[in-house]
Order: sequence, then C-alpha cells, then structure tokens
Amino acid sequence: MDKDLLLKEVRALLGDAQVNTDPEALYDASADRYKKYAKARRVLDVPPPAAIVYPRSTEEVARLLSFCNEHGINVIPRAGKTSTEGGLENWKELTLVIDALHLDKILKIDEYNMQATVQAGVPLQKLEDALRERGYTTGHSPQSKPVAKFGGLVATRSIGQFSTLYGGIEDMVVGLECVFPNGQICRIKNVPRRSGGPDIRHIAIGNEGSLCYITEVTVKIYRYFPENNRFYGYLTKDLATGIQVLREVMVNGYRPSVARAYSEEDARQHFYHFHKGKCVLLFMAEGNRHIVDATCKGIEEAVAKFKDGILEQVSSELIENWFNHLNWSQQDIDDEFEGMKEKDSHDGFTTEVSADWETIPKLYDNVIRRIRSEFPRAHDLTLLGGHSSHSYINGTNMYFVYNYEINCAPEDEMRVYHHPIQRIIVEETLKLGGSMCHHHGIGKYRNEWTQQEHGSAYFMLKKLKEAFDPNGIMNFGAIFYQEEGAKFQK
Amino acid sequence: MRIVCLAKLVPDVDNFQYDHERSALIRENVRLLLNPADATAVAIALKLKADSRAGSVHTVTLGPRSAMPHLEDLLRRGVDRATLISDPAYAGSDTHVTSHILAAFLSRCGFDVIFAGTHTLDGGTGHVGPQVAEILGIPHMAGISHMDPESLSEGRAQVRVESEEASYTFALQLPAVLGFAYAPEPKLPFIRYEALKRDLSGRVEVIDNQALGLAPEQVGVLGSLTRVRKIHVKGFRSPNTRFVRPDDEGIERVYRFLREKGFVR
Repeated sequence: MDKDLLLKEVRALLGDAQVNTDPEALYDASADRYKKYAKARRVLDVPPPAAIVYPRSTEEVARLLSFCNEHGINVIPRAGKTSTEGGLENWKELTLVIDALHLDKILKIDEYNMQATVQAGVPLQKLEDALRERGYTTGHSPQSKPVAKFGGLVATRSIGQFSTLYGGIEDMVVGLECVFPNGQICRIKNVPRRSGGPDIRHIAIGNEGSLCYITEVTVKIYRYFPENNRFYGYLTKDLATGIQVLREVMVNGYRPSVARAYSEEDARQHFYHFHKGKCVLLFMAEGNRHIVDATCKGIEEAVAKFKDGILEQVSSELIENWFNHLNWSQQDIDDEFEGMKEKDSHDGFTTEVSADWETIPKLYDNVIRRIRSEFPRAHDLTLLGGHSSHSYINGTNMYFVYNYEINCAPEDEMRVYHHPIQRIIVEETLKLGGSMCHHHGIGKYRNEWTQQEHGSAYFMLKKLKEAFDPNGIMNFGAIFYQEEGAKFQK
Repeated sequence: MRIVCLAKLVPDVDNFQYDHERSALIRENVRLLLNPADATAVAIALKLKADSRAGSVHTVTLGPRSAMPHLEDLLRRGVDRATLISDPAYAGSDTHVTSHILAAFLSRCGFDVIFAGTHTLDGGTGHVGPQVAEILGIPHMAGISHMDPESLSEGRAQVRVESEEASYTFALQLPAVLGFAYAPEPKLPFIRYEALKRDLSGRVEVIDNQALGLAPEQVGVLGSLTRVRKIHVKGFRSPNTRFVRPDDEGIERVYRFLREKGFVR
C-alpha cells in the first residue's frame, strides 16, 4: 500500500475532518521532545507520518487498528504529546498517528466510591480542576500536568511529584479500556482488588503504545486538604545526607507527598535564591490534619537524627513558593521551542533511574565520575547533577540532570552530547542492578538495553509483543529494539 | 593572507566560586569558555577563509593546559593551526607581561594581520591588543564593529568603530592588530560529528618559556608592573522576600512597589 491509497482508505474510514495531513502538523508529529533541538532547528532526520487521525469513539479506534493490522501500517498512539524519550518519534514511512483529541470526555466522577472515569484524551488538568471544585484530587501531578492526557500518562507509566504519598499511575488506575491491533476491545472492570490471575491492567499500563491503544481509564480519587499542607526545607552538606534522611522518613512508615534531595549543582538551578552552593533537602506533608501532624513529626525526627549533615533550615515559605511553580505549561514548552530556534542551547536533559537505598549514592558517584572523566565533551557541560524525587520503602530514584553549551551542528546534538551521557548513566545503573528508566518509559532510545533491563524476564515481555502485536504495527521501535531503527539512534 | 587570532579562554563568570577565607577564586573544575569577543574575531577570520580572502587562520592562546579541548574544537571548526603558550612561570602575569609573552611568540610565527577581541569577560581591561601592537611596532584599532573584506586585498584594513555619538571609519596599513567588539554574527561554524574523530596531531602545539626564552624576572608576578592587592567579590544582598496573594491587596502592593521603583508611572 502506498501513501495515497492509505490516505484514501483512512478518509473513507473516518471522514476528511478526522484526517490531518497538514505538513506543519506532520512535521510536529514526526518527533517528540526527545529531539526538541533538532526539531526546532528543522533538521529532523526521521520521516513524517502519513497522517494524524482523530477517532471519536473506541469503535473507530478498533476499525483503524484492524485496518492497519491488515495492511502492515505502523501506528503511533498519541495523547498529550509530552513524551520525552522518543516514544512519539516516527521511524516508518507509512505511519498513522492516532491522536486521542476527540476522546475528551470525563465520563463519571464517583465521589462515594472514590473513583473517576475519563476518556484517553482528557487532560489531567481538566479532571484535576473538576475534582478540586468538589474537594478532591487525583493525587497525580507530573511536571507536564497542564498538558498531559490520560492515555499518555497511563501508557508511559507516568509518575507525579506527590508520588511518595499517592504512588505512580499504576497505583491509581482501577480499570481501563484498550484496543488491540486485531480490533479486540478489552475492558478491565473497576474493583477495589482482585485475585483473578495475573493483574492484566499491567499489560496496558506502561505499554508505550507498543501493544494496544488505551481509550478509557478509571482512576482513584482522594480527599483534598490544601489547608493542611506543610513544607520543610534544609541545606545539607552533601547529597548522601539528604538521601539518608529520605530513607529514615520512609522506613519509619511516613508518606510525605514530596520528599526530595538535590545535589549542589541541581539545587543551584532550582533554588537560586537560597541554595548557598549547598545541597537541598525538602519535604511537603499533605492530607488530613492528623496524618500531616504525624508526618511532620517523622520528618523532624529524621532530620534531628542526621543533624550533623544538616547545615541550616530554610524558610518553609520559600519551599511553598517553589512548590507553587512546579509545573511547566504549554507556554513554557513553546517558549523553550522558540528559544531553541535562535540560541545554541536548550533547557537541558534528564535521565531518570532507580535503585535501592544502598545503591543510589554509589550509582550517583559512579555516574558523575565517569561523565567527568570519560565524556569527550565534558568541557561543554554547564550543568551536571541530580536529585532524588520519588522514594519508596526499599529505595529511591535518581534524576540525573545535565545541560551543555551546544557547539555541534543541531542534527548532531544527540549523538555528540545526550547519547554518550545517557549511555554512561544506563550502563552504571544496570551494572549495579537498578532500573534504567524510573518513570519516563523506555521510548525509542533506551531500547537497546531493554533485554538487559529485564534479564531472564525479557522472555515474558517479548511474548506479550508476539501475542498482542504479531504483525508489529504498534509504535515501531518503542520498548523493543529494531535493527531498522538503529540508523536514527547512532 | 595569514591571519593570527588571539584567543583567550576565560572562566565562566556566571558560575565561578569564591573562597572567602583565602580571598581567592576556586579554579578547580571551573569551566572555561572562549572569550566571546575573541570568538567573534575567529569567526570573522574563518568567514574570510571560507570566502577565499584568507589563506590560513592560526589561533594563539596564553593559558593553562586545560584550554586544550577548546583549542582542538577551534581546529574542528576550521582553524588551521592552534598554539597554546603555557608555562607555570607565567602564572600571575599582568597584561603588560601577557602582551610581551604573546609578542615574543608573534614576532617569530609569521602573520599578515592579527585579529583579537577588544575586551575579555574576566578582566576587561582591553590592554593586551594595543600593547601587543605597540611592542610589535604595528598599528592597532579597538572596538571594531565592521571590517571591509575587500580592503584586505589592498594591503590595508578599512574598519568601522561605533561610539555612542558617531560611527567612525578608519584605514590601517597592514600588518596591524584589529580588535573586534563582540557581535552575535558571524557565529563560529558548528563542529560536525565527523570532525570529532579527525586526527588533529601536528596542528596544535604547546609552547613553553624554554621555547620563548624570556628571563624569569620578565614574566609572572616578578615581571608584572601591576599588583593585585586584594580581590573583592561583589556580594549580592539577599532581597527581602515578601509573599503576596493574587488578590486585590497583593496586586495593589506589587503595583505600589513597581511605582516606587519607577517601573510603572
């Protein structure tokens, strides 16, 4: 099938109004924020998709997928467009981007049973706003909250800034509806718990569009008590102290909604008005008053236990002010994009990993040492550091952040700068038994390590792909390494 | 035409750290960057070369060994040859000594014209260009915002210098030292991925005082005519932070503040 015939068939399936072939829209759809700089400079090396299509119902999604499955057309599911790891990047000439634009309805807010059901194209902010009016919250607040949509949030196993209290999206999803390439529509019902075999929600959660298209999601909702929010901030002598305090709080069973420890370098960019060249540790406690009181006590005790590494306490007003400006809006994304057209710089990159408490400090030191000594462009680095921002009883994440002066051609930026740094971070993480991707998903640029990430369990992942997407039409290159896509990676 | 560019690596002044107890800059792990006005000078030289108006571009840098990756980058951008003048004996040299060291090398390296940036980010005295010209006995002009490339083929440099009041045009007989003001254009050419693997051996050299043969009392702190008695770091006072809510009272307070400061009338 060629592109003209594909467009004719798709228009016959959906109608002209639901098929977008505008060249600018297709250029935009050919890559996500992973290649943001090359995209802004208009030097992308990947092909544009044939069209972006906007189904209005689950049945239309099913018809589209069946058609693509039958004719071997690559499909990129899209909802929100805030992907950062190449998950939305196109590597095939014949590709349809199926965008959840019209799947935009909040179907039900069930206050008594504390759950809300939305279609995949509902922005998280829209549901959050609707819940706040009633005194509830989703508890989910990724940095992309003003822009991200539920289909994308669930498909990428996203996490929010209050995850230490509310968990990641996988802890919030009660049930969902999704469509497989053969057109099979599956609904996973909404129950408090089940033991009916393996938890099949997880086939859809985090599939990154490589197995199915998520059309509807039901998530838990929580009572919202903003009047009880309490904030703590400290300067610490090193990152290890911050991590020790985080651990102490977590292992004693407390669940602050925000619990973060920053390296000096990373603190400098986030807390320029109070960091004093030191590491920063901060907490936020939220929830009902009794829980907040107990959590605050737990934080204060943990800080007291490690007082030798605490340099000073920071005004909680400063932390609250920082907290109120956490998210980036569409305007922020657009501003960065416009800036990259003119300047040889951007807002930097991140690579997020996780490991147990014992491993994280070693991992951080190993990565920083290797980048400083092995990365050939170390002299161009303008920022290299990291922070822990999502903690668990057995460990935490490390969000490596880095930026650099871009001295190469825009089309070479990833392989000159980002890829060598990312490789060091992934290699060190896997060497120490951590996970190379804490919450951004694998996307298309960490797929060469997917097998290593999962070890012997990769067998299970591979079988899922073979079973649900035997013709390989779902998001070519996402999660699973493809030799044909290597030319875009190296 | 052989162009020699004086290219200084300066500390990233936005991110330097200061040891208040020892009253000294912490130089370990300080990021270096090519002085912006010098980058303009090199970019103009490379543009002349690309337009076949110059035969070769040679950069000369006085500085620490840690400047080497930046000099290699200049070669990757199209510079033909890079020289790093580096010797522990030169530590503490003021602009007078720096000019003599550079002139000692330049007097024997061969050039038709010398390009430089007028000011540097770190010192900003603007001394070195004129002093080098004085020692070499050739003309100098600082603050150049434009140069007529055609004029070079006539053995002179016709340049424009802007001041707040007027724009002046001068012609200098070559050889001369031309000091350029920083300008966003032309930019240095990008480094291409393939150039990163290019063999640069033989195109970058390190020269020390043994090669230049300057007497110990002529260089470093001993040779300097000026002394740094004390460095003061301009401290930024922490502003009084006041939080206001996005209500009428908060808006009124912000408005009054902006009026007081003259930002709104």
